[in-house]
Amino acid sequence: MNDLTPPLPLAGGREPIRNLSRRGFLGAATGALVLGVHLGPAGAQERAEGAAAIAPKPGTRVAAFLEMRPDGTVRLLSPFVEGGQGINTGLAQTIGEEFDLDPARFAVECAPPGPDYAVVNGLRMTGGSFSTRSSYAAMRRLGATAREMMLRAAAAKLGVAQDQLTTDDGRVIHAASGRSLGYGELAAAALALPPRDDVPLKDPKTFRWIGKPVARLDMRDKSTGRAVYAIDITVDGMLHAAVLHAPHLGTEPQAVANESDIRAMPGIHSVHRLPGAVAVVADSWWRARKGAEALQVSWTNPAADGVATVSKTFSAAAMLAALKGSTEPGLSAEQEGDVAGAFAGAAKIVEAEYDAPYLAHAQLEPPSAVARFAADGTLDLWLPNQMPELFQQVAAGVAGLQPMQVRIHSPLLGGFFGRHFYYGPANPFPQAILLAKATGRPVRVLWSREEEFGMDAVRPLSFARFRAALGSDGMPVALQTTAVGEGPIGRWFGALFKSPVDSSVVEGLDKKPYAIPNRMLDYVKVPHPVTIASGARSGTR
Amino acid sequence: MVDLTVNSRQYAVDAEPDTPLLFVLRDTLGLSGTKYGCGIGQCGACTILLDGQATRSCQVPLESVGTQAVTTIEAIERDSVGARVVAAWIGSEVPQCGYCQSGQVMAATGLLKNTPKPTEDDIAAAMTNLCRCGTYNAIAAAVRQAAA
Ligand code: FES
Ligand code: FES
Repeated sequence: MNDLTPPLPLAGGREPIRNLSRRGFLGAATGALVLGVHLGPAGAQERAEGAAAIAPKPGTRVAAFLEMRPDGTVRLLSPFVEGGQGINTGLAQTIGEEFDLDPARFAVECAPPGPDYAVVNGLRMTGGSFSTRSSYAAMRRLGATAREMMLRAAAAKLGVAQDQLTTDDGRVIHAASGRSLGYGELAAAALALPPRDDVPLKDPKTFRWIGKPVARLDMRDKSTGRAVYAIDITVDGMLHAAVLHAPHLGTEPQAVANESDIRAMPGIHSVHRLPGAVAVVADSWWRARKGAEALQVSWTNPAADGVATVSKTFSAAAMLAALKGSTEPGLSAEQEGDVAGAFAGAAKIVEAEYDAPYLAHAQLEPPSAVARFAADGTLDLWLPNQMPELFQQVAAGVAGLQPMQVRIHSPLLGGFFGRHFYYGPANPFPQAILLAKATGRPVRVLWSREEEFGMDAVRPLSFARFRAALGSDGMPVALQTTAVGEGPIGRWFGALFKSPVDSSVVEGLDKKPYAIPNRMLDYVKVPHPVTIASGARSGTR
Repeated sequence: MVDLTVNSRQYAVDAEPDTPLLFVLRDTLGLSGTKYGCGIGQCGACTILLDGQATRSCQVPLESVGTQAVTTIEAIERDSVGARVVAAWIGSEVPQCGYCQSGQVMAATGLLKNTPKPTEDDIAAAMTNLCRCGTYNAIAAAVRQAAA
């Protein structure tokens, strides 16, 4: 058995950004703050040495986004990944409006990593229902800038003044002479021009596509099985891996009692020890999976008891009991008025406790990743992700490469709901990299549905205590809330946000609009031993 | 070697007889339009037609297919009912992430081939595939449209 267990190195030993929740990220983190972490030593080096050293403002370099094809269609490299939310169509609508090209003529793909695509407050990610809002202005401007370049190129080609030219759905028209040129014919000359940064935008009253119903671009492919997800990617010479994870998170494989039997099963290539898992590699996934299911692995022992780790007796019920039983004083997250006084004078006191369970994302596409090393040692990685640059950085650390030596490919997502941020052991791609390295072949790791439910980073189980003081008229005069637990922002961004209060635990409990004069919200931190995540309807509301 | 007829083409497949048809289609024949969701017959992402009947291919061992005709999403528009279903799916813009939709289209085609004028109860009984994105209302509307 190949032992691939040395702890996964991360680039520069830094803690990467691992997670984002909706309001926690968008409200509390400014782009600059997150970017500061994102571009640590490796990122800075890449900036100094790579194309990024001369990178213009994100979202402005037309050639990074638009590739005109001879047939008058355009390939758009998108900062965002499509997973059913319709962002590909939305971008075609927004850019097409200003560029003057029918959205139906766009073919949209998720762009590779690169500084041009950091259009979300200087960062790049798909999440938080924020893609259109964060990029709308920049994408309109991009379309307008591109259209002006077409006009300028056409003016030179036709030998006429630029202000005598107009456009109509992918063509530049010189009405006076009846001549016209398609964008495709102009593209080479146009894209070589320096973009202007002062091109006026359209008057919204003249919009043809923005704000109007537009047919979604991906309906035919998604209705005929042609849409390609990470799970569908195949490359020449690819091996398939199935994985058996440790029954208790944090324990490690010790020995495989029947390894020679496994290796003798049909199609099996090899057996590998991974961090917290054993992988079986074969010439088909079903054969690999049968091998993985037959594995007899002895694992290191989990702790006997408690909720500090995933112990032998750990369960959601035990965790909830621990949250309920917490007696530590809370940290103040919100305080207004005289709560103690209001309770002392209350006509009636109402008390309640609420809890919400651990929840998996349960996106329908089980997670997978394909890793392929090129002859020059660089790495191609196909994987579901909501943040290509972050995955590139982490993947480079795992592979022992510089980020610019890793090419990230981001296919359509078969649902995501927050599943495809970086969540440490909840991501299959490090396994794919290690196995590709060990076998010298491209490898696809696919987690079975069972492994996915076991390893997904879950929305944290949460618990809150409420006490309300009512006046003699029955109206609330004071509200006291204690939120107990841990959230994804504190887990993955704790060092970044200096606040000891975890915004992803108290979000939704704080900033209530109710006219209750005396309010108090406390946060008691009780860490979860399991991998926790954000997700749609995330946080701990 | 096991003989198989998929989308009117003959194949001789080198796989263990108990291999689920789903993985033969996806990994051996490269027909990846049929999706893996659960592998235990619960989600329907892997639905194909077996002699015209909607069937969850993760539950069909290769050895049990025999001479039955396998139809997958890749060939569904060659079937007149299937072509109508696809047109209705596009017209109603049913898919969101799309991952479940191959299976949904196959299930709808299977329904309408056997029950051209389904009642609401027929639709509810036949369209049991999961959609995590929640496109159920659009699915029902598209089935009605394809039946009309
Ligand atoms: S994969 Fe066959 S029913 Fe889910
Ligand atoms: S469209 Fe996403 S699972 Fe159905």
